[in-house]
Amino acid sequence: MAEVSGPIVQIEEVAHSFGSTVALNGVSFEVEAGEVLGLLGPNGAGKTTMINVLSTLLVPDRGRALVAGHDVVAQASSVRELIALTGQFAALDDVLTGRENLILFGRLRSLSKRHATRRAEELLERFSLVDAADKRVGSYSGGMRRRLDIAASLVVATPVLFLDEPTTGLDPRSRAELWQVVRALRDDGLTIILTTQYLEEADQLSERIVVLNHGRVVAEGSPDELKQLAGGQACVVMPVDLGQLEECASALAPFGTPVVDRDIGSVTVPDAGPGALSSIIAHLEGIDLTDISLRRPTLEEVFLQITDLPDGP
Amino acid sequence: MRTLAADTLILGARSVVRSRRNPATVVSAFIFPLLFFALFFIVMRRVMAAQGFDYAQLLPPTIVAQAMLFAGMSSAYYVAADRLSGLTARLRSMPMHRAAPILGRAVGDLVRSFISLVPISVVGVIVGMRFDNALGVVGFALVALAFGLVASLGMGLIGYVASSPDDAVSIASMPYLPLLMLSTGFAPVKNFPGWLQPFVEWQPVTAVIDLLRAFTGEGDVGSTLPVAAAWLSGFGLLFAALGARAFKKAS
Amino acid sequence: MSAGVRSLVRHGPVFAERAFKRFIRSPSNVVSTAGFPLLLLLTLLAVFSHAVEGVEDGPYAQRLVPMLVVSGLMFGSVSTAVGFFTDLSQGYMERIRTMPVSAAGPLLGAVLGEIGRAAMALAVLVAVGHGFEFRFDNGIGPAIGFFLVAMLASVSIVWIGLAMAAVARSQEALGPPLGALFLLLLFLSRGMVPVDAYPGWAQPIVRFNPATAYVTAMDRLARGGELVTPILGSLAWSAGIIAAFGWIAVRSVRRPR
Repeated sequence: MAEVSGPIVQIEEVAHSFGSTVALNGVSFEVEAGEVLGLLGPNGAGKTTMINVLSTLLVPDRGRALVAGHDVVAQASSVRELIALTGQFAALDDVLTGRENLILFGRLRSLSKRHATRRAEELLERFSLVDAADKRVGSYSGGMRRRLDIAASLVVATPVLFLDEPTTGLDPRSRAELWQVVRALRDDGLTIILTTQYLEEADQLSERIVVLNHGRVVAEGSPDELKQLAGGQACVVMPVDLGQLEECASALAPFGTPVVDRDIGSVTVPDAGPGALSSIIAHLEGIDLTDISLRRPTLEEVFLQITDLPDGP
Repeated sequence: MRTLAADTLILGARSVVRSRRNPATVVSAFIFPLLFFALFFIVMRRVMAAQGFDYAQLLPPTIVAQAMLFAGMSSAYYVAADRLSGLTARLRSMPMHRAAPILGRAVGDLVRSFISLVPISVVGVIVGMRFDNALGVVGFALVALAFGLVASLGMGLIGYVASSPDDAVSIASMPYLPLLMLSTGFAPVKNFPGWLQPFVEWQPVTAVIDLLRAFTGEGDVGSTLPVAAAWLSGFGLLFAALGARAFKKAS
Repeated sequence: MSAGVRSLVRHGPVFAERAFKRFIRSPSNVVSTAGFPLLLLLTLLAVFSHAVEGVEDGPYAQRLVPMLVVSGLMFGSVSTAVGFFTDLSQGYMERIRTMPVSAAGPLLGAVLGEIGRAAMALAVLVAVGHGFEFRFDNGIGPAIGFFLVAMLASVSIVWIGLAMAAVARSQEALGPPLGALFLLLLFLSRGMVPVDAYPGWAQPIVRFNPATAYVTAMDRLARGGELVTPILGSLAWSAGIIAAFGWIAVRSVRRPR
């Protein structure tokens, strides 16, 4: 039965193949109640398969997954009371209006017609869709469709929400709006599992990230912990005279493998190690610098490094 | 002039390749006309025979005319698709003879018409249609192709105003049914209600079908040719002029 | 499974309401259900009534109205099939499956929505047919039977398209083949001319055709004649169509377990 505290989603050694393609190869992780977990990985890593298992759409070959203590296979109908899925396609009826869609899904969640209508009104308000409420969804922009799609998942408060690539294909402004929506849901205490290919998105929204690659968990932790995974700090040096970039690079060679970026005019040593700054400055004697700094590697650098490995740790 | 001919051929070839790769065109060029042919032939032959109207000889020209109208609908589809994809605008901005895109399309329409004309005529001959001589065959083919071209030019105009290729086909199919059915294609003029008979007798599709039949020995070429020629050249010129204007304004 | 049935009872009307809204809002639906059959009625009357009235008694409209009602149901159901294909391919069914709702709900809704289609086809064609001497000569009871047979045909025929939508790979592989199938069924029925006007080899096909069963039942209910055979035939065809195609369609919405 459901535990009072502890993980609300538990995944143990889940494996699934489509024919000879291994989509999930023994995945385990847990999600705490109220947490936003980012499931990050390149195309084909197994993210959507994982979501389909959790949302009762797919019976895995092996392993088990629990939502609030209910097995997604054996107790699928109890799980469906607890979850809502916003998939990659906007799962809406194009011919109906935004309001009608929300009322439809409310009534399918067994709200009375009056109650469903009131709930639709609240959601339209909350997702800034009041002006478009009585237009057909077919005429909505991509961002509006996604907002309505998420709203349709919220007609009845379920504790767990799955968002499968919620911002794929959106323009930057719609994406920013959607991020606001997700943050607000997190503040409401929902447990959210979102998949994304965008590192920036996982960094911005999730408290914890699970990186999938080739159907395996290759890294797990907070965004900061993951950045640490790539090692210590990077040192970035920018000479005044761009002609001296090569000279900087050879001076920095003892500290790692320098990367020259001619567009920005910088030389980066990805893993300079702690306390290297003063000796780096000593090595650059005689070169005028506009800037020298230490910074964390970006998640992108970490991601490329982790997913480059043929297999997980 | 060399560039006009060359550009026309290039664009015509593209139009043909494109139709060939679209399964829907194949269906509308072969399968639907032959299906209608088979169905009308099976269902109505005996009933019409009692009226002294022999479908084996008289129906193939009707189905040829129908196939030409289908070719016109395809043209409406392609004009709309090219316009909406921006291809029409690009062609207009390129250094080629202004008439080349229009003529290129006409080449494509003619090839499409010809490709559906051949199997239908063959089936027609198999069920019993007969030509008197080689001249009849040539005349039959030329009239069919001329009608196919005029239908394509006319229905192509719809492609310039429709909001999607599918809409263009839907709009183009509206005049098709009454024009084809309310002709002498399926029943003689005297079988129609009195008030409808003048329309049935004088409308362009009747003129074309009557002329096609004349080339198969059913009727007199001398008396049917002037009416059909007048309709085809009149509508042909009108549609070509309107098409050229629409093309110049298309964006 | 009883939870599924309970959900169907509770949510069926919601899905039916959705289907009905989709139906009345789609102009092409109205055209294929009422507009096109109406145009066909008028043209077929103009072209063939003289010839057909030469081989049988009674106005040609009497024969055509039942057949065109069935044609409206058939060609109209193509858009229901395409809509269901979209539900399956664009994520709508996926969302339904993750909800505590019977996954057969959208199918049930689509089928109930077809009754609306039947009502529209009947209203338009019977009214216009009246102007061409189509009559219910057989009294009020059989006239009601006429409407009921049309309803039965509507909730049966739609399963053919729903099943094809369940197995189709693309929308292009669904609409045209379905349209061609219905065209064949209609032409090779006794809806346009009497059975003995067909060539001998085609007559068994014409007799063994669901469109013939529905059209014959409606025709005899309107103008009189032996009723048991066509009505039993209609019921048998409906049962067969629903069992065979319904099985395929329902299988496609079933959850993994």
